[in-house]
Amino acid sequence: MNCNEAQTRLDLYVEGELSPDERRGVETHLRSCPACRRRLANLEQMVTLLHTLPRVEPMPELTARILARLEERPRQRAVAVRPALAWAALLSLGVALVVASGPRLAALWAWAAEMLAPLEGALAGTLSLDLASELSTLAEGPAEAVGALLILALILLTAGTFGLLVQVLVPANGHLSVNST
Amino acid sequence: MFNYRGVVCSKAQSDEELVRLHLQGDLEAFRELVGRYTGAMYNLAYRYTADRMAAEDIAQETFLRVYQALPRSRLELPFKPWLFRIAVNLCRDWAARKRPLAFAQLGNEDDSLVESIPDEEPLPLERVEAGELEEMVRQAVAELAPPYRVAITLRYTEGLSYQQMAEVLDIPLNTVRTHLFRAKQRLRQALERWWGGGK
Repeated sequence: MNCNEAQTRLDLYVEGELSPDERRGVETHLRSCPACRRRLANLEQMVTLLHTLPRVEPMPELTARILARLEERPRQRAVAVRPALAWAALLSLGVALVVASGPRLAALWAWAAEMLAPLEGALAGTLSLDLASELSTLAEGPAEAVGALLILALILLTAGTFGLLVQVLVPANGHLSVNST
Repeated sequence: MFNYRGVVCSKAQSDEELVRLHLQGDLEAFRELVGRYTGAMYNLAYRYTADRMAAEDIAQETFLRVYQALPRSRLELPFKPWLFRIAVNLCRDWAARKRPLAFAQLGNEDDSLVESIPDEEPLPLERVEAGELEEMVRQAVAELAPPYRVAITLRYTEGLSYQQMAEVLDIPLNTVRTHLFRAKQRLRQALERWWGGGK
């Protein structure tokens, strides 16, 4: 390794960011090069200085102000609302089936009863793929497949509407405590 | 246990453990994270903005965003770098509103470490009182461009690795190397000017 090559690596050497091989190469060069040892000393000095740089401290009240602002805001609703969203989705699924399925009601109802039990607690968005495949197998011809897809679309639309309503109407229940210690 | 700004903090629990407890409904866990990192967030934001009001706003907004985002986030980074990334993005938003050229002026820089390291004697720091030296470094850092100040802060105050810095700043690893190398060169030049000016 010559001086030019060593110079491009000295800074990373000081920072401990070289691979073991590169590090050994630099150290070999340093043993025989006083100029690069001086450069190394410069870099080490600067790093030492920078480690002494103090933090700029905020006003003492800042932490309390942040906690107070957090108290003003409801916790992100995703956690609190998820179970409600899932129940709303299930409810809307049932309503949509009754309203839209017509002559296929009995078959779909039996299928829905089978499918809904393990879905408790699941998110509304996860329903779509399973429903699509199940409905297409229930359908006996292309026309019925189209009908089934229409039902699926209606179900998803209804579930989405219910979900949105729940997001808007159900209050979040997790507030951050700011009791002073 | 230690007390920071009235918030009792425990060193025993990692950030990630506190995040997990917070998500399980432990109301004190997030308080402790705020206590741990308020100073770091403020310092980072102040180093970037050089404006106390802006730094306070950014520190507050960082925690608000984290609080809102945590329940639906899959943390790709450990909590600390993730927190810093949010703060850095808020600093950039602030810069875009206030000083549109703050980042653009560094956008076309060559990422290679082509500048040579000065072949000079180390600065005679032993001739300076410790407090005076600290003030010199603080002022020299304050004169750097904002991205250099942030890089210096993340590396030397917060102890992030180069790789973590690349993730926090969302820039290539080579750019991190270049920023830190050039920041140190410019600091040295500033300190040498200081010396030449009568020290």
